[in-house]
Amino acid sequence: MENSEENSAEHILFELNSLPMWIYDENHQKILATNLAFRLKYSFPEDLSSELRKNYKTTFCEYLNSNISQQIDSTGTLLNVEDILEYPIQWKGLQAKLLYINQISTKDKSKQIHLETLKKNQNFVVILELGANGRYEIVEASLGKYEAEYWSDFQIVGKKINQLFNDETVSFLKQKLQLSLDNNKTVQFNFHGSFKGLGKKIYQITLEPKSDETGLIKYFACTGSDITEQYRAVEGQSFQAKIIDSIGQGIISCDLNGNINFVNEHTSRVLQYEPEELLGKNIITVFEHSSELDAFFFQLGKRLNNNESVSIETKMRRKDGHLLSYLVTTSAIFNKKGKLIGFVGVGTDLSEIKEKEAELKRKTNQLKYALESAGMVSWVYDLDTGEIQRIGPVSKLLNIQKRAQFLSSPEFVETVIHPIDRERVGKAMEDAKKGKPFFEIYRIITPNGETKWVEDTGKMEFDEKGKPIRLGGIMQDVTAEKIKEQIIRESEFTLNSLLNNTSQAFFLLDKEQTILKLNLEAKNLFLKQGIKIEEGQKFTSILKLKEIEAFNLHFQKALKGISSETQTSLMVDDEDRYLSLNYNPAYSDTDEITGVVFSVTDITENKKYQKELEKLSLVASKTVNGVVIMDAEGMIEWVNEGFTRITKYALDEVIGQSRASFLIGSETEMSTVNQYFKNIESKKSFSIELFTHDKLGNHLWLNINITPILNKDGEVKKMIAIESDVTDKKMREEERVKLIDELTKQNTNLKQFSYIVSHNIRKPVANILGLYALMGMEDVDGKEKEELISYIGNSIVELDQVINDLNNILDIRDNFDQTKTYLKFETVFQKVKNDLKEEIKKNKTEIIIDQIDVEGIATIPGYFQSIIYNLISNSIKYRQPQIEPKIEIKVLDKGEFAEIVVSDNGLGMNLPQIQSSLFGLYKRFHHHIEGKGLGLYMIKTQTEAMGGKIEVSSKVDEGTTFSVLLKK
Amino acid sequence: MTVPEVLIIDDDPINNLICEKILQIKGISSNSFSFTSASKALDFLAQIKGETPAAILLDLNLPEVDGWQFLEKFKSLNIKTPIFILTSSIDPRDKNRSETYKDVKGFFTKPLIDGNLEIIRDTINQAV
Repeated sequence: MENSEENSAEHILFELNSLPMWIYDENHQKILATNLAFRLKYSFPEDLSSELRKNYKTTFCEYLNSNISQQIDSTGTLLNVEDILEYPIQWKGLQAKLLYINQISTKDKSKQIHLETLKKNQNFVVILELGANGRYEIVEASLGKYEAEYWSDFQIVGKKINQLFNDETVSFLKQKLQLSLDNNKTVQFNFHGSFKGLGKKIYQITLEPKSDETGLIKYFACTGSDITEQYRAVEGQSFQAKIIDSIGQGIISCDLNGNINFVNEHTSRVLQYEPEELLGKNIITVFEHSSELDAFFFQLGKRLNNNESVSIETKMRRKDGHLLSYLVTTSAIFNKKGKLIGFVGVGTDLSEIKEKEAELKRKTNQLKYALESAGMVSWVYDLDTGEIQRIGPVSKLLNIQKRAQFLSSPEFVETVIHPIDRERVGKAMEDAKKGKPFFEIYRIITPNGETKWVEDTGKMEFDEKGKPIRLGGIMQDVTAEKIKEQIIRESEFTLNSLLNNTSQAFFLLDKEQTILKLNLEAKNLFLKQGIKIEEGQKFTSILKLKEIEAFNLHFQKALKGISSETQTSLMVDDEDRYLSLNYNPAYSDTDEITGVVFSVTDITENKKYQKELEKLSLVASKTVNGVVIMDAEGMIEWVNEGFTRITKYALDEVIGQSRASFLIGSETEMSTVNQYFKNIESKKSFSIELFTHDKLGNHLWLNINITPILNKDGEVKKMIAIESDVTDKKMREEERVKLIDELTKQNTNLKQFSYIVSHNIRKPVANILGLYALMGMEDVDGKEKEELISYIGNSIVELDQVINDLNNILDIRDNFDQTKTYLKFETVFQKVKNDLKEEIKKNKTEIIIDQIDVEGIATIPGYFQSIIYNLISNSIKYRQPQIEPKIEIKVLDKGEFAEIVVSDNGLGMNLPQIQSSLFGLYKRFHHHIEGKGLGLYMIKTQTEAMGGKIEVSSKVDEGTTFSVLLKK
Repeated sequence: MTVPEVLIIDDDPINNLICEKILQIKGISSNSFSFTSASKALDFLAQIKGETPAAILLDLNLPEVDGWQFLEKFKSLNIKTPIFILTSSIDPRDKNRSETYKDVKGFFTKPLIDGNLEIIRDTINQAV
């Protein structure tokens, strides 16, 4: 089609008509135009200049010219030549013929195809400004399709209206403008204007006053359309209008505001209006207002851009208010520039169809209600005609408005069924022809693009010859179920993966205690027990008989909605196996209890441990030993009576406390404490003896045996301490040590005595024996004999001296308990100095007593005097030959002790060499000086007899210092 | 000082007198010498060359360096002279201890009796 025609309403009606249409030249020689439906149906090329078209033209024309009553066209569709209707029309100034194929019914005249035409129905828009001088000037203009026809937008902008129109017109327009201005109201009127150079035109004009910023009306939006042609058509002056009027369909068009700017004769006649009456009225006037209509306009708005047409089954309102059923198909009208300027609707009277439907409805009322209530649609597919009839709430089922179209669609499988399911459904239909029952669940796509699931059950009907004639069935919307199913599947999947991935074991029993489900963890848990259980098995089969009663009790409780928890043992041969079962009611979607969900834990280890602990506690509570049960951190959980008896701490005083915190006292040896903690860390059983005190502060020796109780992973779960009071034992031990010390001392003494006997007593005796033997010899003369006798005398004196010494020593030893008397140090020193004055004087000895910090002590006077005497006399005895002896005496206060220090500048001793025997009996270290080796031995014995001790320091050729420490 | 035939080490001069007299009277040796200090005896023995005493009589209970210490130090002198312990001790432990020294050829308890004198005589004769 040529450009100038392309967007006209006429063309749109033609192009978008649902019936295939084409236009021939008068002689059926040349196809001038085809519409969309035609091109689609016959795969006819749009480009009329193509070769294909030329070929097609020939064959198609030949076909149409043939008188065969039935033909099959290129698509294989049966076609009745009778159904091809022909109308003479004007086509671009030429006489032409419009042909169309009536698919609805050949006999129904009222359903004959129409040709729509509508001319110059689009609006122009002009904005007028009211000037100060009362003149109206065009400030904006959008003439749309009129632009080329009359003026260009450019030409009229800036013009005053009197520059464009003649005086008569100007005054008419001013009058209208004044009306709008005065009432501040939109004014609509038909305007018969005479244009300069254009002649008479009829316009429908709408004037809308607009205020400026100050609120004063200053502008007018003037929209209008040229209705000259319509006017003429009404007057029967247009050939096209005659055609339009002659067809059995109503045609009505309106602008974007819904103002009717064209009606054909059919419309005005049916609606019982004069054509002029409807012009300028809003389109709503002729429709029954309904929600469906709103939806219709909504759909219309949505589809405008797609150049689609929209159909609605609606009621048209007659002038007297009577409502008529119409199927209205509406398309948009665009101007040459592609701008939307209005709508055109083609109405088909449905009253007859409605009547038929009503009859059918009556017949199928019962079925319909039945189906409706079930949300079903029954259908019959005629194999011969390809027609599908449906009964039931199709629109409800498929959520569509285009029921009529849906009803008439023969291409159900090809268009409605979802592409994925198409092949399957098609095959099922083919199978049905062979006698197989038809049952399919598939998806369909509703006209508004939704996907719905339907369950379709059908049955083929055969004639007497066994030829399939029609397939009838019931279709049901199962979308909700499908979605639900999917949700369930999804949630089931989620639940399953959740259950299988959790570390908690779960299983589900139905009311009959059959295992419906168990997760992986549960399977593994039972496998560990050596039991293989599966879905479908009775759960009680794995329980010990004695447990079943209790199980049933809790199970029944759970079925009543009460959760509980029990422990039960399993049916395993050799050893006891325990489970902790948590019973919870399982609810269905409808909140009914359908079974019991269990979470299950293996507590065999715990139970074992518990049993052991019970046994242990029984023993523990009865034992005389202290028993302490601690947790892994050493916190006390329990102590027995024995513990309280030993430590004086009661259970409630120590529970939750660390054992170590009051086990260790200030008197406890640090090394023992360290050993204790080291052992705890080793996680091994150990024993340790600790010196500490009880709650009352009494000293206590504890023997503690700690055994950690480990779980199977080697972690400490508990620690058990067995504690016994070993204070008595320890005391005895100490006594024994003391005794052994004493005995060792005694033994040493005995040894010394035997030494004295063997050396010091034997020596003079041996000498006497030797001398006596010499005296008896012949060669000894008288003088020698006298000498020998004197030697014998000396030896006897020596022997006597030794016996006296021994007596003295024994005397000291036997008199350990001798009573002490208070003695002033000064007095003792002076007395000793006096006793030794000869020696002191002879050796020019200097004795310095310059520091006496402790005045005196309680002591045994004889011993103390003897000690000082021996020390001073030793210092003089072992002096250095060339140096005058100097003896310094001090008494120092050493707290508990008084320290008597005697130092000299004498020979000194090589202490490391002689230390061990320094204080030994009859030990001598200076051979050139007379001495029995008794002095130091006596000093030591006497000091110790008084509970003191003696220390010595010395250096050869420098001197010696003795310190005697005596208790104050 | 010439090297004596018999060396006596004892801090008891009476014992030394008895020993010297009896060795002389019994005709065992008229060339005996007594040291009252073991260290002095050691000093003497350390400085002699060639000739050595034929026998040493050693007391155990001596001041400063006692008999046992003498025996230890004697080992290092490398002198073959046989040593006889002459002690007033009748303690058998002393006897046993003395037997651990290979230089010690006898343990005699004071006073010297005939049997012991004969052993000393034999020793001197062998040395000659």
